[in-house]
Amino acid sequence: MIDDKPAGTSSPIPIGNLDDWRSVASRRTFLRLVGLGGAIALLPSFVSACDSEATTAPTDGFAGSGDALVIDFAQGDVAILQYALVLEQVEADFYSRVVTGFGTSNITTAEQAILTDIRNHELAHREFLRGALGADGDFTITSTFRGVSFTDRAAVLGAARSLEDLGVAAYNGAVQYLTSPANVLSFAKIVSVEARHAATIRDLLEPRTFAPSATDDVFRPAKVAATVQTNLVDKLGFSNAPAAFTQGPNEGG
Amino acid sequence: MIRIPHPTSALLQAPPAPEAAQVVESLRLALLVAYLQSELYTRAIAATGFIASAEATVFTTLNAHETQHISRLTQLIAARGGPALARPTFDFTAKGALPGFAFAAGQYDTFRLLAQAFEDLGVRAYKGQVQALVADEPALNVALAIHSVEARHAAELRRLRGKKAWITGSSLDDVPTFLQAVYGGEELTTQGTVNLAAALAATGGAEAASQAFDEPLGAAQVTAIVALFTV
Repeated sequence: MIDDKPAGTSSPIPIGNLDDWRSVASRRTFLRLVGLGGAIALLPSFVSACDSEATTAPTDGFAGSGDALVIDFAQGDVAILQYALVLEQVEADFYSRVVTGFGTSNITTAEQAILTDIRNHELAHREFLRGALGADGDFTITSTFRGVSFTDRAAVLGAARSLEDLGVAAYNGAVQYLTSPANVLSFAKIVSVEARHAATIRDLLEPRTFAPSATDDVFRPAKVAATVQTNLVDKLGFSNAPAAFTQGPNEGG
Repeated sequence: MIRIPHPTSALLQAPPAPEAAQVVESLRLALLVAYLQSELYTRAIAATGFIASAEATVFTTLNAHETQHISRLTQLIAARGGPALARPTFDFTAKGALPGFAFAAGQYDTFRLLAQAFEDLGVRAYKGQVQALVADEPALNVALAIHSVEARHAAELRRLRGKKAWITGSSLDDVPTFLQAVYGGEELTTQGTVNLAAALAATGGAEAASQAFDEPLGAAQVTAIVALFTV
């Protein structure tokens, strides 16, 4: 049944049982997963992507339909780096899909050069974290971008903007949990490049929107995970997650 | 019943003395850079007709953000009992390195170039203080929240100038050599023990490896660069 949920419902994304997902997933719910709720009438390609497998790769699984991927925060810095590695794998997978799709997309040549650079940077972040984690980084997530039309410039850039802004807030909110000064510095080295990406993507989408606030968001891992889950087939879980969180200047993290 | 004033949360969370002193020093360094940036934008905006109309919103945004950064940092320093830092007197001819620079007609490109260098400097300056701020999480979070916005600023300015939003190697590109210290050290392609130039051999190599990580600058280096522009 379509659109059977009351307007304004913001229940958590159903995770786990595929039948449950199907039973509650409305078209509106699906669109909310890709951050475009309310824009149905203007985005027919998204509606068709929702209704049909035709415009998405067959490997696009349902978010949360896979095996559990649990990060144990009792491991200290290792857990925080694993958390970052999940984010970077999602980003690297996303831009790799974007680059692979250049041949059939309406992304301009100049934008292709930018997006290729960003793909390379995300690969660098991923490989750095893998190297730093050693055996603890020996896991591969299964990402999903179900509903994102990789042939459509606006869809790609819109999804990229969400990922980059989230990445900035995620790194900003993770630093307080690190104990190793070297790791603190590494996160700071990465987050400013994510912010350069965010500003660039925003500029491509809508000039002059590079920095929506004088201070960026600082998000706790649980808040980030709820959004990242929409791009993960794996069921992301935290154990021993820290209860304490020091808010940033924008609060709400 | 006597009501006892409740101390501010900032005071409650203030770390022990030696770390607190370092936190204040870090915040004052950040404030110094914010003053440099703010002064540049304020003077440019005050020079009637100097800023290209198509880019006016960029610089009013940058100016507004730096004003807020100054306010945040000043409050944090005061709440920690640190000494106030007055806005220095700035000279954007850089003691003669940019002779005659006065936000005048024909000098807009030089202004944008300075703005880019100051924002790239801002990224490195905040980054260099993050480790010292971990003992004081409210201050840490403000610094981080500003740090990434400085990177957004830098990206926008670089793009306005037709440059990539990220720094490749330690290249000055068209930035004058007296500002080499702003970019020196950005060329790293190995992070920790991971040789990223090799890992990215097929996907951007050393260029991508250097772009993917911004590098910190220490307090002495930052102070020396700012001093190029103070009277």
